[in-house]
Amino acid sequence: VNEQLHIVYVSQLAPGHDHSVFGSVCRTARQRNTELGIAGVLLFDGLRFCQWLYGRPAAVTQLMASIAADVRHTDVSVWLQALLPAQDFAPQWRAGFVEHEVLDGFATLQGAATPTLLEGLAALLTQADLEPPLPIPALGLTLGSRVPGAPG
Amino acid sequence: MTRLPAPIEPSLFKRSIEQAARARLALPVLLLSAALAMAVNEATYQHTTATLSRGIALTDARLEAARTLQALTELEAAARAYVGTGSDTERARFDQAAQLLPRLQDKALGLVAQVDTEGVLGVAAVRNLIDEHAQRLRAWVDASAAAPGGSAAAGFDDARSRARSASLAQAMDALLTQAGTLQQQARLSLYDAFLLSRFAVHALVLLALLALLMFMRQLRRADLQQAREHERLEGQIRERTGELRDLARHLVSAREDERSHVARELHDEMGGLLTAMKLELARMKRVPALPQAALDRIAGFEKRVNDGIALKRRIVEHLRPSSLDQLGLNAALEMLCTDTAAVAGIVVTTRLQPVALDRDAELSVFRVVQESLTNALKYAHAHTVEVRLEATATHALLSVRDDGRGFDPAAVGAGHHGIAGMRLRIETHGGQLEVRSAEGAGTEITARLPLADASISGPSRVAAG
Repeated sequence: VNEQLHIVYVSQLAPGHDHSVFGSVCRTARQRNTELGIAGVLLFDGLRFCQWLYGRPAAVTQLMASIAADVRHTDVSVWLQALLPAQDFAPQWRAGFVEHEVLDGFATLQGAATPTLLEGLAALLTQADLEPPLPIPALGLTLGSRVPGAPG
Repeated sequence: MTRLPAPIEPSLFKRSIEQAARARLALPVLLLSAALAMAVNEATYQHTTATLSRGIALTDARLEAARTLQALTELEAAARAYVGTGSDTERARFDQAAQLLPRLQDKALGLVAQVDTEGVLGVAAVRNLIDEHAQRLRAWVDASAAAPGGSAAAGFDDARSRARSASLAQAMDALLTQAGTLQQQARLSLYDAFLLSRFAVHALVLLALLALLMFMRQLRRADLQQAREHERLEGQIRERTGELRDLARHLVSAREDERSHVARELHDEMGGLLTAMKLELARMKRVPALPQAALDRIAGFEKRVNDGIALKRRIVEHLRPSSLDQLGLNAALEMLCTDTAAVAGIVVTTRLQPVALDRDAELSVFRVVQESLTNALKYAHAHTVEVRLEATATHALLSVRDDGRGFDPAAVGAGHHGIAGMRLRIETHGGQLEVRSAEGAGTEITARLPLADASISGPSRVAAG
């Protein structure tokens, strides 16, 4: 009950789709995720998506299933799936952009241990252009103990 | 709100009187009653005066009638004496009495005529009797003078003279009695008149009193009604003001929601496009064997895309000041002022103390500063702006002062609605906004907001552990 399911995946924009997919995904996800109590960050570099989701395990699992079935992206590769201690927070889901090279840098961590991945994710987020932006004080924190976007 | 006493339900009687009083005829009826009462009173006065005068006349008439009868007796006595003696003294006595008699008779009968206003009494008959008696006596005296001796005395029928004299006195007495009866009737009718007058005056006084009471009552009711109406209107104003404030609050929050929505759309759609363009450019750069000129062009293009991304961020930040949530009011204001100073090339100084306001009030303060800075640049063409934020024990005090052209705050013009909007926004938090400005004297906008209750103002933006 006191645990949240964290999922990080990377996928590719499906052939035949363009950047406008990001806008339409955001439009539905912003409201739906808040309603489901799911937080996280969706990043886009122009071609690749990287999404980190966390929340009640059942809700996250269900959401992840529908994401995997979405035809607007392909090569969905889950890099992290872990139950972590829950944080007391108001669910905040963000979306934003990272430069291609920055996401490449994060991609080198594929297959790494969970703490390493989360640290890499925190570093990635500091370089992203997010809406809503991250609370500044949260930026320097290690994800293992604090989750970005979770008000203290 | 003081509760007014419930209107007292008047009785049927009272209601009908009040209805009558309210009717159009009320005033004419009142005036008519007054006129009638005055007429009755006046008539009574006239009647009284006349009756009193007639009473006096009757008393005098009695006196004069006695004198007249006495004069007749004297005339007759003098005639007898003269006829008996033939003395000149007696003759003189007779002449004197004969001379006196008409005056007395006229006086007495004139007084009787005064009492007998309608001429029903036989005044003329009595006058004739007196005249006839006097003439016979004179004729007898004259005959005696012409033929002195017994023949003249014999020519006078003493018994008939005595009878005439007696009937004369009787007629006179009857006349006076009748006059007395008339006077008695007049006196009786005087009582009636007094009674009528009394009732008329009483009725008028009562009517006037009633009218006065109703008038006072009406006044009181009017006052009460006015007070009720006043209260009702005040309540309505309070209600409307509350509605307007709610509407303003709603509009403010709707506007902020809309801004957030636009900010997100701009970020998501435009950001997606620019990011994709950036990726394309990065790929294009990696195309083998590109001439240097093409690479230069691509670099220029990339720079513009980056400018576009920066512009997008600025617009988004302007639409929803994320710095407010991230850093707090004072830091957000510092950033806003620094950015404005840099973009517009003016001097913006800040003196900001920490103040405890809730999230919405902070946003309103931020928006007021934002709009004031815009006004200072756009309309006032200011060179320096000073932004101050201070805290008293109960209130946060904001002041934005510029050295621009200034304006007449009383005049309606450009920026008027902006100021009205700022004021309304501050008022939704229970605060006040004032504008001090004059042509050529700069502008100072001050806002005073109650500090948030310590129990309500949570540190919503603090995320540090």
